Amino acid sequence: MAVCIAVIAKENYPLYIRSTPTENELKFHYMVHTSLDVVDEKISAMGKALVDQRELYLGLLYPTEDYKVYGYVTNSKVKFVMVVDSSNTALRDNEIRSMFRKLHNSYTDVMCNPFYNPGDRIQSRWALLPVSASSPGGPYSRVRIQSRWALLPVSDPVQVGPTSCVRIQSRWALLPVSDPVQVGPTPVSDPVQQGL
Amino acid sequence: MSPTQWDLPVELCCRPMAFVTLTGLDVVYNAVHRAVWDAFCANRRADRVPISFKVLPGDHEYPKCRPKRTSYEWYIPKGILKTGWMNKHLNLVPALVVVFYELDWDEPQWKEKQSECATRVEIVRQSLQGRNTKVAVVLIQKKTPLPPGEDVIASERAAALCNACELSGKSLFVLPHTDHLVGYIIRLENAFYEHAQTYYYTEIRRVKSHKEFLNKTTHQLLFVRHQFKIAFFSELKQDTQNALKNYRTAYNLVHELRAHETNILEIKTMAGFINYKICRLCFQHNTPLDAIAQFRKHIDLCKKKIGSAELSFEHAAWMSKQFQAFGDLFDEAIKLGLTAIQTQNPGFYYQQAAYYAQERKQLAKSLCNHEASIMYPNPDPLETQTGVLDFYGQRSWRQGILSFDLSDPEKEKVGVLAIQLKERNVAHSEIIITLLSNAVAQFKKYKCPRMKSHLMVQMGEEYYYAKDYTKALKLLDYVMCDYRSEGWWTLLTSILTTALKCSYLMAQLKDYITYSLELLGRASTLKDDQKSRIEKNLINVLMNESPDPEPDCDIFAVKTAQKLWADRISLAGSNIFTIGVQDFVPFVQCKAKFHAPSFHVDVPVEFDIYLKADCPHPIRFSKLCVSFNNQEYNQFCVIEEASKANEVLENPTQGKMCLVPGKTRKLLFKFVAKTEDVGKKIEITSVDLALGNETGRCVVLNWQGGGGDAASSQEALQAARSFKRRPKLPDNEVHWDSIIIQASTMIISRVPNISVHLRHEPPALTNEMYCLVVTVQSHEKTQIRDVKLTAGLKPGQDANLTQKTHVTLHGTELCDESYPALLTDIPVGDLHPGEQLEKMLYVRCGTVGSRMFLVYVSYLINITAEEKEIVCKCHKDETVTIETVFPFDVAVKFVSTKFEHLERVYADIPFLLMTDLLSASPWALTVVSSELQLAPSMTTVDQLESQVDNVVLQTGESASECFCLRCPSLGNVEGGVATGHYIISWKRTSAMENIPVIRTVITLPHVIVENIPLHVNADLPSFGRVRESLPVKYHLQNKTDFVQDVEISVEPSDAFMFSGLKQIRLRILPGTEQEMLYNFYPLMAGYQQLPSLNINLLRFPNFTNQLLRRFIPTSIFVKPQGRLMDDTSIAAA
Repeated sequence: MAVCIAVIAKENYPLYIRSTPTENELKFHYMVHTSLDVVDEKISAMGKALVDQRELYLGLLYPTEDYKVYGYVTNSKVKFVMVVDSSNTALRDNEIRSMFRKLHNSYTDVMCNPFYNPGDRIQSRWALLPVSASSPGGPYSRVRIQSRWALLPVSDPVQVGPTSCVRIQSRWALLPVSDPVQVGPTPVSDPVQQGL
Repeated sequence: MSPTQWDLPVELCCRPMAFVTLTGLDVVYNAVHRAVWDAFCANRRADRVPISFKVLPGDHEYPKCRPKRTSYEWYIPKGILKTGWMNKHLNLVPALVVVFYELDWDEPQWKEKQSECATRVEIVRQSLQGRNTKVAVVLIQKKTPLPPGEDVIASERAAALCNACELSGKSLFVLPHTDHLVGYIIRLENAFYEHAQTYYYTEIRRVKSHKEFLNKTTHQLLFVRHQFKIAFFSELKQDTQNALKNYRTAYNLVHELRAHETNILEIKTMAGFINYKICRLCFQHNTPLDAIAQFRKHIDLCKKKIGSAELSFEHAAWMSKQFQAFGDLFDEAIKLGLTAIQTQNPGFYYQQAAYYAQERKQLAKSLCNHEASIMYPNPDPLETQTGVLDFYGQRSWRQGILSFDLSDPEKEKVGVLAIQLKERNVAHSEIIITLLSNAVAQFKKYKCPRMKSHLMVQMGEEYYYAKDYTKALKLLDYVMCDYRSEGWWTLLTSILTTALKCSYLMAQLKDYITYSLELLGRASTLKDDQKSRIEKNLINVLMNESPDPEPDCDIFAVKTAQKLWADRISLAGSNIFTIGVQDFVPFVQCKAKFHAPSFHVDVPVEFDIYLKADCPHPIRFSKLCVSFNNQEYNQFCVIEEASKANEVLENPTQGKMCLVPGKTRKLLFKFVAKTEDVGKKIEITSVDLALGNETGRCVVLNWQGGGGDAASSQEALQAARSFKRRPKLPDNEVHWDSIIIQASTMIISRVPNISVHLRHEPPALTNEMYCLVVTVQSHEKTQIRDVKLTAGLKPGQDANLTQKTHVTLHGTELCDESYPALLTDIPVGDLHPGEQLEKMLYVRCGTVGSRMFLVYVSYLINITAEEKEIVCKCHKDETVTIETVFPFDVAVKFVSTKFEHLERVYADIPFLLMTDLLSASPWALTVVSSELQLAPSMTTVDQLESQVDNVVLQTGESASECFCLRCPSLGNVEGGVATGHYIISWKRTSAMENIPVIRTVITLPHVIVENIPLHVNADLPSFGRVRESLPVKYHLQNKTDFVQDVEISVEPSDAFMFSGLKQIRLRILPGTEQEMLYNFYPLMAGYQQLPSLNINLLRFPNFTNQLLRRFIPTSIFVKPQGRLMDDTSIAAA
C-alpha cells in the first residue's frame, strides 16, 4: 500500500501529488521533493543510454526510518514517485514495479485525454487515484464536446514520450468518432486501486 | 544529571591503547630525564606503537585489587558495567610499570646502587599487589655500551641486578644517554609493547576463567560484563578482530537480558555502548556495510524499547544520540578515506538524529508541562554520594536494585519528577539546529540540494520556535527561491506562512509586505479566508496601522510584536518600499504590450498595461508609472489618483485605479515619439505600481521590462502549449493567458507620400554611359522641402562592383575612375504638391553582371500629430537591378590567302586576319568606326582601312572585316607573336548626339610564326575554260640560306592536258626564286582538280607535299565553252 503517489513534470514541478494520511500532507510533499535529488542523479547517471535499453524503474531512491521512496521515470522525463511504509514487507520490488506500470498506464490515459494540456497540474482527482466511487464519469462525458474532439489534432508529439505517443495514436485509431461513451479516460477499474 | 547525560563517555569513544607508567623519572629538575620523557611523548605518529605513557612517582598507589572471589555461587551482580571500569584500565591500572634508574656498569658503589634499585622495584611491586602488571627496569647510563658479550663486567652485573630485583633478563633494559636517544627509545617502546600485550593476554585469560563459575539464572548481567571486558582488553591488546567478535557476542547477550521498565535504560545504554564499539571497529576494518547493518539492527531492536511512558523523551534523546554518534563515526571514516554516496551518507543519520531530537522536544513539551508552583524535589533524588552513578544506565535513587518491583513508589515519583523538571531546561532547539546544520553540511557535499533546502526549512522553523526570528527569516528567505523556481507551491506557501509570522513578530515592514504579497498571489495555496485575513492586514499596514497578529504565535511574542508595531507607526521616516517582483510571485500581475512592433513617427505610440489581481478582495492602487529606455517619455505614462489612504476600500469597484480579483484591467497609454528616435527601439524598462499612499505607507511593485514575475515564464509556456478554447468573454475583456508581453517597439520614419519612377533601357552595355531617368513626384498635401537624391550602386554589394561602376549626372563626357559609385545627397530643392521633377543619371559599368542600383529620395515635411507640430523626415527608396552585358562579341581568325583556317602563319608569307563583330545587344548599335592597330612585328600588305564605318547592327547581326598581313621572320618566338589591337568605336543607335562614342579595344590573339624552307605560290587565272589554254606559273622561293635541291614532278589529271616540265630536278640558290611555267588545257567543265605538283626537297626530308599544297591551289573552276564567246572569237578570228 503506497502512502503517497506523486507525478512530477519534466521541469520538476508536481503535476499530481496525493497521500493517504492527509493530515501530514506537507511531510510527504517534502519527502517527494527531496527524493528528486536522487532521481536527478540517477537520470544523469543513465546518460545517453539507448532508449530501448533504458530502465524506467529507478528502484529504491532512499530509505527513511519509516518510509521507503521509490522512483520511476518515463521517456519524456516525467517522474513518478511512490512512498511506501517501511513496515510493509509485502511490497517487494516486483510489486512496486507493477504498481508503477499501472500508474504509467493511468498517466498515459490522462495524456490521451484531448482536453488535458500536457504540463498542467492534473486536476481531476480520480484520474490517477480513486477517491471514492462517487466520481461521476468525469467532466469529459458531456455530450457537447463529443463532436469536437475528433477534429482536435493528436497531442503534440514533443510533449509526450515516444511510447505514449504510440499509444495515443492507436487509441485514437481504434476509437469510433461517433461513440460517445469511449471519450476520455474511461472509468475502468483503476489500476492503482488494486495497488493501494 | 549533566546536560551531556546522553553523550557517550570519553573512555568509550577513544581508541584504547596499552597503558604504561614510567617511574623514577624526574622530568621537572633533571634534564636527562626530561629528554627521555620528551622522546617518549613527542612525535607519536601512527608508525609508533600504540601506548599511552604516564610518568608517576615510584611510590604511586595503584587502585587496589579486590580479593579474588573463590566462588560466584552467592554473588549477585548489581549492574552490567561499572562506570569507572573503562577509565581504570585506560588510565589507572598499567600493563607495565617501568622503573628508571641511573646506573652505569662501572659504578664504583655498585652494591649500594644495586640494592637501592631492588628496593625501588619492590616498592612498585608492593603497590601492585595482586595485579598481573609487569615490571621492567631501565638503567640510564652515561656511557655507550660495548657490543653484547664483550663487556664481561656488564653481563655479570646485569645478571646480579636481575637476581636482586627478581626480574627476568628480558625485563632489564639499558638506555645509554647518547646521541641516538630517539632510536633507543623506539626500541624500548617496542619492548614495552610486547610486555603490555602479554599483560592484556593474561587479563583476557583471567576474565575468561570466571566464565565457568557463572550460571544463567543469577549471572546474566555478568555474561555481558565479562564479554565486554574481554572485548575491551582485546582492544587494548590491539587485537581488533577478536575485540569485534567479543563485542558482537556481548551485544547479543545484552538483548538476551530480561528487560523491564526499571532496567530498560541500563540495557539500552549498554547496547548503545557496545553498538558504538562494533560500528567503530567495522569502520576501522573498512567494512562500512557491516557497520551500517549493525546499526540498522541495533535501531530495529531498540526502537520499540521506550521504557517508562512518563520519561519517553529520554528514549527519543537516546535514539537521537545513537543516530548522531553513528553519523559522527561515519563522517570520521569518510575523513579517513571512506567514500560515501548520495543515498548513504552521514547526513541521513544526522537528519534522523534531528528528527528524534524534535520528537524529544515534543514529548518533553507534553510531559514536562508542570505548573510553575511545582518545586524541584529536595533532597535531589538525582544526587548520589559520589556524584556519579556506580553502573551505567541506572537510576540514581535505586542504584544496584535489580528487582523489577518498585520498592518505593513515592521515591520513584519524585525521581521522575526531577528528571522531567530537568528536561524542561534543556535547550532542545539548540540541539535540533546543531544536528540539522550537521546534516545540511553533509547533504551539500553529496549533491542533495533539495534535501539541503528541506533541512534548512526545518532549521528555520526551529529557530522560529526558539524565537530567534532573525535567523529563521534569513534561512527561510534563502531557500524560498528554490521552491519557487521549481514550482512547489504547497511547500512555498508553508514556508511563507512561517516567514510571515517571523516578520510580523519582528515588525519587519518590508518583509511583512513582501510575504503578504506573495501569500495573496496565485502561487499561494492558502484558503480564501486566510487570504482575506492577510489582505486585510496588508491594507492595515499600508494605512500605517498595526496588522492583526498571525495565528498560532506565542502570546508573549505577540505582545512584544504589538509594541514594536506601535513604535513603527510613530516612527517617522521613509515609508516607501520598492519591491522588485521578478524574484517572487506577487498577487498583482502585470503585462505590457505595445500595439504594434513598430510605429511611424507621425502616429502616436500606443501601448496597454494589463493588470490582474489574484487577491480575494478588490484592491486600489494609487499610481502606475512606466519607465522607458528614453526617460523623456516617462512623464507621459503615469496614472495617478489623488486618493486618500482611507479611500482604499471605499467604492472599490469604481474607477480604473481599482483591481477587481480575477478581472484583467487594461490601461491604455499614448505618446508621440521624438523625431530623434526614428530608427531606434523604445523599450519599457520597468513598470511601477504603487499600492497605498505616501501619507501612510506605500509599496511600489516594480516589474522589470514589460512585466512578468518568477512564475510567469512557465505559465506563458503552458498557455502557449494549450489548445484549449477559451470561453468567450464580453468585448473589451481579454484572457490573461492570451496576452503576450511586447515590451519594445521600433520608431520608424513617416510613410513617404511621393512617387519615384525610374526609366531606362536595360540591359546596360559594358562601358557605355547608361542613362537612368529618375522621376520624383510629390503627392503630399503641403510643400516638401529639402528634397535630396541619393543614387548609385547600392552599398553592401561586391567591392569589385564599386570599383567598376561610376555614376555621374553629366552624360556628355565619359567618366573615369575618379567618379564615385554612389552619388549622395544631391540637392533637388523643394517640391510643391503634385509637382514633378526629372533627373538624369548616367552610369558606366566596367564589367558585366547584375548590379543593384538604389535611388533614395529624402525630404522634410511639417506634420501635426496629437496637436503637436513636428518636422518629419521622410524618404523613399527604389532599387533596381540592372544587368550589364557585352554589346557585341568579336571573333578573330587567321586564314591563309586561300581562306583556309591557319593554326600558325609562315614567316614572310601573307595571310588574312578576319574579324567578326556579332551584336549581342538587344538594342541597335552603331559602329562608328573600327581600327586595326598592328603590333610592330606585323606588317600590312595593303591599306588598313575600316570596312565597317557607320554600320548599324541589329541584335544578332554581325559585321566582318578582313585584313591581309604579313609577318616577317623573327626566328622562333615562344608563345607566338603579338598581332595588335582591334579598336571599335560605337554607341547605341538610339543615343543622343552628345553622348560620347565608346571605344572598345580588343586585343588580338598572338599567332605562332613558323619558317618554311620553300615557298611555292602559283599565278593562275581565277577560272579556266574548256579547251582554252590556261597558263599557270609556279614560283618556288628558297627561304633558307642554303642551296636547295628540288625534285619536281607533275601528276597528270583526267581533266587536263598540260605542257611543261613533267619531272625536273633543279637547284635554287638561297633567297632566289625559280619560276615554273605550265600550260594547262582543261578538258572538262566544272570544279576540277588541277594536276598536282609534287615537290621533294632533298635537304629537308620532312618537308612534305602536304604543307606545300596549302600555298598552291589544288583545283580550279572550268567554265564550259560559251557559244557567244565562240561566235565572237570566231568573228574576231
